[in-house]
Amino acid sequence: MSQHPSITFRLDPQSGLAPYRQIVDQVRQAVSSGLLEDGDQLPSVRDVVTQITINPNTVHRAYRELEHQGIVEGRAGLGTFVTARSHISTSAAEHASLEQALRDWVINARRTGLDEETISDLMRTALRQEGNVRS
Amino acid sequence: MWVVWRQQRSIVIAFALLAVVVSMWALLMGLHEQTLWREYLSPPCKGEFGGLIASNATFCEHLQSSLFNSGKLNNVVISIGLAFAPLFGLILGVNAVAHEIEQKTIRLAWTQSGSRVRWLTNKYLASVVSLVVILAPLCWLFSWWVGASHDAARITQKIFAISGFVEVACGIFCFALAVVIGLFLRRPGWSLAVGIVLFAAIFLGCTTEVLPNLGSPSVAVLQNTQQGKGSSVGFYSSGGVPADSWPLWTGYEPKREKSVPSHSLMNRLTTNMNRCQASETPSLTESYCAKQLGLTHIQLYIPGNQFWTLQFFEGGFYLIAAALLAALSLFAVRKVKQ
Amino acid sequence: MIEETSVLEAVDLGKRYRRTWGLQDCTLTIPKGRVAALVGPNGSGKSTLLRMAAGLLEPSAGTLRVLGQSPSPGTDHLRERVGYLDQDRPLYKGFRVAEMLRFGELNNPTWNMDVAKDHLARLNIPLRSRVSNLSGGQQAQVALTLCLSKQPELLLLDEPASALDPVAREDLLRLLMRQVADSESSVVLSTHALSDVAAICDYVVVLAHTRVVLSDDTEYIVETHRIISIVDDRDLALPPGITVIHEQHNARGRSLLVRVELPFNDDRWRVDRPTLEEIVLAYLREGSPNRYGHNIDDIENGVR
Repeated sequence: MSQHPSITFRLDPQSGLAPYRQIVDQVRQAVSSGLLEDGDQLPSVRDVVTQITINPNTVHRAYRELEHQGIVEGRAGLGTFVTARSHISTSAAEHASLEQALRDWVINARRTGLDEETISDLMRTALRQEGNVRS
Repeated sequence: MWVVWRQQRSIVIAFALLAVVVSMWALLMGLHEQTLWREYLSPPCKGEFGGLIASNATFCEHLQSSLFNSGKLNNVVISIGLAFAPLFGLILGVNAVAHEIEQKTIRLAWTQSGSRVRWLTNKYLASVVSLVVILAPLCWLFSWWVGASHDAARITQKIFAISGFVEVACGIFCFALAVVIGLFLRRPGWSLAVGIVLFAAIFLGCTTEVLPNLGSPSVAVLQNTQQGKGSSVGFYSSGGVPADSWPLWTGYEPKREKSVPSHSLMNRLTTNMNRCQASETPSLTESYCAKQLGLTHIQLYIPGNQFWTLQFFEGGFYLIAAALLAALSLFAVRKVKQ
Repeated sequence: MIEETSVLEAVDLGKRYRRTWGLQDCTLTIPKGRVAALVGPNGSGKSTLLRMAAGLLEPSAGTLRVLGQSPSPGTDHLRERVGYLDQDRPLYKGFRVAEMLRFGELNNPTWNMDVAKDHLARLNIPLRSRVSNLSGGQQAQVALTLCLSKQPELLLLDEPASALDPVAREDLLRLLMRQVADSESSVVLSTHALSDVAAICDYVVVLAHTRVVLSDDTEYIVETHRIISIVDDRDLALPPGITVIHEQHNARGRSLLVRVELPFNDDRWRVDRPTLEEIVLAYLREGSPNRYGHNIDDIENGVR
């Protein structure tokens, strides 16, 4: 059935994020930015595994997580479909202030003279660094 | 079995072609010699070239030298005949096991669903079929050729080995030998070398020690007057030994004896004769000493009618040895580490 | 019949070659449904372990069970369910690709020819080519196809991705993952470069000097290890509930890769999450035979 896939995934080995998390995030971003619409079918596990080098269990896990978050639903024998876009929209609204703060910060950083690479590195370190480990 | 055939294909085809070439050559040579013999043995020559009128003598001498020259080529054919089956068997055996081990394809073969025993059994079955299909016709042709080209002496050591079905049994034995050696040495080059050496030793031992003792020799009395007539001594067994037989040893036995003397007795008597002949100066003739010591000059031989008995003995020996080696390999294959 | 939850179980497994041990004191349990990586330098025992699991070698010590059975040369049924790919990726050099497939078909009752031909078609390997005319990468792919087409429950692959150019490697790993997606096979593969296979492994076994030093789910490993570092205050005591795997001193302080057993709350230490490769490297450097795996019940109840 695979014609053009609805979304093309990309794994970043440097990101420090677990592969399944990256898939989940990419689907979430696609849905919130409108690339994926309500009713669109996510590529089958088999198709994803053909696109990128990834463990199929990871894809299963990501799809289950997305289903758990209410973003997609699995229909037996048919595939996994996007649903409940509204969930993301609400979250997007919540994130709006964060996004604005981020944009302002980037403008400031640029003014201070930081180049794109340094900004990227700072972002990455901040993501990887964790505060004290709590249970 | 298809897999084994496919793996052996180039070797089998190469040896088949070689067999065809050798057969053609032997066929042509044999027919040629057969004609020569027929001429030589019929009037006017009747197998001799001395004591004839001049014109016939030249003709007969010419025939005799032709036969003598082609006799040298015969040795080449015999050598090929002796080497063919053992080499074919050894190379097939080395290819079957040692080569697979060296190429690591054995790790592919032994991790498929079948058992190692089944894998090796298939190797044996396919290879024995290939060996028999190629060697049996070749042996049949050689047996004919021996008769056509020599008109005599079917059981000299070398000729015995290439007539009858012994070579088929040798080939099968060599295959089993190479399989066993390959399982332990694991390298095809070394396995082939060791196999050749081992087989040569076994073959020589079998033909020189074992066979003469298995057959029952007979005695022929030699008369000194047989020499010197320009007769075809080079082709016939000397003196009273029948044409078809396998001459063993010449020597002496006590005059009155009628039984077959042992080899050690004959050696002792020969020593006595030599001592006698050397004792006086000028040295005494052989016939004088023989009369003095009361000995007869004899030749031991194995008569031609024992040919098939000895074939079954030797062939049987090789086949049983092959079966034992095969059993050993089928047992050992489960233990070999890879 | 009890369904097996592990594909490979070793207890004090060891293998001796003449005077040296190729593998010793190996105890690990690889659960079903994983793509497990055996990581270690050459000579650390990876090939030995895989060949014992494939039934090519007999253990010198300890026990080994694969899919619940002991993989001796006598257990033919086990070999139907297990596929093995040797490091040398042996093929019959004189054969054509189609003849290699026929070899597979004749030797395996569970062979699926359509799957085999489909895999080779996707990889653009013509069936008529002679094996000796294929590139190294293509030969590896054909050899892997031979393993996959008998539809095994478990795949044992010895360095399948090594010595391959990046494109061939990607193709091979995707071929493997497609099979795992279709048939839910478990995979145990060995590598000396974790980065080659990090994208596909969810279970890691680290071998150093013929011993197992770590064996666990990748997620659990990443969750339970941290890099803690401090600047200047070198004599600061370590927080409790921490096991040091590897320590590095530099001009200004210390940096330690640790396993965290108890959560701690100490602001003086900077805490970072290491990548899987960093963790594995630390264990390889230390090479001490401590066991950091946890048993299968935890896996069932905990992480997933």
